[in-house]
This record gives sequence, C-alpha cells and structure tokens, in this order.
Amino acid sequence: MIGRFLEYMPDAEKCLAIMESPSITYIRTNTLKIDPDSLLSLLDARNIELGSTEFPEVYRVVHTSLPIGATPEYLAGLYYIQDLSSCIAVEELDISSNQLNMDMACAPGGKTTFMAQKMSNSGAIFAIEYNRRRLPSVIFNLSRCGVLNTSLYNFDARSAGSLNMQFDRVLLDAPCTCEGIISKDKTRKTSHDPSDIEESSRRQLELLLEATKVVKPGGLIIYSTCSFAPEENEVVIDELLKVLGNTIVIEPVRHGLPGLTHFGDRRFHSSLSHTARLYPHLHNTVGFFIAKLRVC
Amino acid sequence: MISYREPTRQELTVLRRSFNHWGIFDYVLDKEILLNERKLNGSKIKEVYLTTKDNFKMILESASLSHIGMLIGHMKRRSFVPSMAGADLIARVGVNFPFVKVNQAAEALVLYGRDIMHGSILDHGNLDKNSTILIILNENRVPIGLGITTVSIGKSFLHKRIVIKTIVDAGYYLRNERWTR
Repeated sequence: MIGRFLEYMPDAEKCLAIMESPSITYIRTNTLKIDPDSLLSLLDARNIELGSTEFPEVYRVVHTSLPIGATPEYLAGLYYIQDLSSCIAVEELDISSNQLNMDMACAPGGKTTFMAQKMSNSGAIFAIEYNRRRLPSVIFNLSRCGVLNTSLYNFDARSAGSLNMQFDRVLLDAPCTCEGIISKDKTRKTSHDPSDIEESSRRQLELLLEATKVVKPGGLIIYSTCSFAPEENEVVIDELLKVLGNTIVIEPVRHGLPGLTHFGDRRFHSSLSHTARLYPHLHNTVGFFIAKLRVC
Repeated sequence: MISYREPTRQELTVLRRSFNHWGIFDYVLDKEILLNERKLNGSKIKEVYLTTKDNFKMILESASLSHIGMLIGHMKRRSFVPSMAGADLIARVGVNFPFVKVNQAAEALVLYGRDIMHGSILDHGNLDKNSTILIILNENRVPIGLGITTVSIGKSFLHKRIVIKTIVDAGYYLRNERWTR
C-alpha cells in the first residue's frame, strides 16, 4: 500500500505519520434544532472547547473531558460527529429547499441528515442502504436529528434505475476500501488486497452508472469515497466518461487538491483535474475523494 | 419492513386532540400523518409517523421500505403517547405542553432511565392532574426524556419522594446498541 501511496500522494511520508495519530474530531451543528452560536455556548458550559472551520455550522473539537458522543446535547440531536470531508461532499451538492434528492448508500446517515438540514426538512430524500444490519443506525440518526423528509429503503442501489424516478441531486458516497480512514481504523491497513480494490472499483462504476439514470437532466451527482486508491476514484470517473461521453460534465470542487490526470501508464480525461482529493496532512480531514458531475 | 396507511377519520380525531394537547396542532397541519401497525410483546400497537407532503408523494410501497419521516409516537386505545423523537419535536415547536425542568444531577440520572425526585425539579408547567405525561427538560431546556407524574408535584411535603416516573429517556439510544424503533 505504501509503495502505491508514493506514486501519487504528495509528501506521502508525512501523510502516513499523521495517519498514525488520532484524527481531528469535527461536529456539525444540526441547524434543524439549534443555531451554531447557541450550541457553542451549551458545549462551552460543559467545558468542551471548540474551534471554528470554514463552514459556520461545523466546529473542530479542541478539547473535551467528556465523550463527545454521549452528551445530552448529542443525544438530543443538536450536533452530529462528522468529518469535514463528509461535510464538503454535501456542501458541493448545492442543495436547496423543496428538492427531491437521493442518497444511494446512506448508512449511518450523517450525510443524509446534513442534506435534510440543507433542505430545511422540506422536499424529500430517498435514502437507500443495502446492508440490513446498518439500518438501525440510520433510523437512530434520522430520529435523533429530527429529520422528517426522508424515507429509508433496504435494497441494492445498483437497481435504482428501475425505480423510474428522477431526482434533483444524487449523492453516491460509494462503499470502498476505506484507505483514507486508517487513522480511525487501523485494520484498514491490512484488511484489503489489490483484488478487493478491483472488485470495489467495478461495483462503484455500476453504482455510478445507476446514479446517472435517476438524476434529472441538469441535475447533480456527487461521487465520493474515503479511499486514496485511483482505481476507486479517477478510474471510475474516467470509465464513466468513456461510457456516457458528453452527457456528463465534471464541475470543479471548491476544496482539496486537483484529482489525478494520470496514474501509472494510464492517462485520464483532462477534466479529472476538476475532481478533488483531500489528504489528512494537507486538509486536516480523513483521506477523501469528491467528483461533482453535472448531467446534461 | 414497514407497511403504512393513512389514519381513519376516528384515529385522526384522536390524534388531532392529542396534538392540540401537546401544542403541535398547527405544526402538523401542512404535514402528512401515517400509521404503521405492528406487534410488540404480543400486543398490537399503532406507530404514528410524521413526514413532509413531498416525501409522502414519493414513498414506494415496497418490501424494502424501512422507515418514513419521523416516528413521533404510538396510539394506545384512544390516546397518543409521544416517542423520544416526538418529545423532542414538542419541546422545539410545541406551545403550553406539560413539562418539568430538572437540575444537572437529575439530568444524569434521567439519562440512565432513573426517576425524578421532587427536590430535583427546577420548574414545571401545565401539569393539571396526576398521571400526566410530560416532557423532561434539562436546565437549558434540552429535552432528555418523557415522564409521568405519580403524585401532584405542587405539594411541598413531597420533598424527598419520587414524583415523576421516567418512561423514555434520550440515553436509551446509547444503552441499546442494536437500536430499533
């Protein structure tokens, strides 16, 4: 894995060192229930020190003597523990009220609840989770966060196209090998091999092709993974462009480093530079990839 | 799997009366109410869901449907009892609903499902009679549970007695790893 990282990751050694230490914890204010300043005051009273980020509703946890996932404010759904990278993915969806949106792989519900928040609990979200065992966590988070506008379904999103439904926005935070979250889960260093990346990449392309079937003309798809592997990121998007050609336009993501335009001997479409890579040592996030796709 | 239906006229009357009691009558007017009947410990209960009109229009009746909007409570015979999510909704948007506000020591106990002593109550309101179901708020008015009065809590001689039994608490979520409805 390390040999691969050296091929495409800037300052890979620093990145690996950072991933050995605990990652930064971020919390997102649930503005369906409270404003960011009021949350700051409530948590300050519990001696939880927060720092600001570029997003007004997202805070960095500087110091806490309490488990941040067990305060009464957490239980009441006043905030969600969520990495900055996930918040960026939802920000890039350009969500507004009264839209009809889809989340194709929603567990545990962090991005879904942020979408509901961005929609002010209006319109509708069609949320899909294939893994039945992960449904309770989604229901817990939807309930805790006071989300009204979402329905949750348990099926393989690779058949989403057969629903004959059209959405304004589609979020595909695709199941991946999770290389980017090694700092949170050390087993990710050894839990996969090249064949897993290949299998994951194939499934991701199938899911993404399905996403293009359910988005309205002019609508947006955000494709994201928490993996560094080009096979799960730029390769998937490049393959999609080969299949669908000019019907997909990659729009620039406003954060991170530009995506790769080549990997090994493989050259990608030049617009892959509009995708974004987030690195722990450069962006204080987990490792993450985001592509913003406009469907013509 | 969840199989929902719209309430009958009779059920809607019961629900509207309850929503009025909890001060959320106006809030639910532009939303859709749905019921799901299921068995719990051998008896039949009706779960009450609240969702947006747009979401209601988009729901697919399918075996894969697992959850709709927010489960705000249950109908038992001719009454409605809020869930924790329902209690939270009431605390945010409701008016003149029954409540007690408890101190920090009691807050920690309520989050472990413990009952409330008279001395822990900082404030209360709209508790007209005994056996009133109420929202438990912490010092900052954050909803932490749902309780029921065991005696009239206005009486000062009850100082060292349990006056509210906790029915549901927000800590339940964490104590039950395999969280279900």
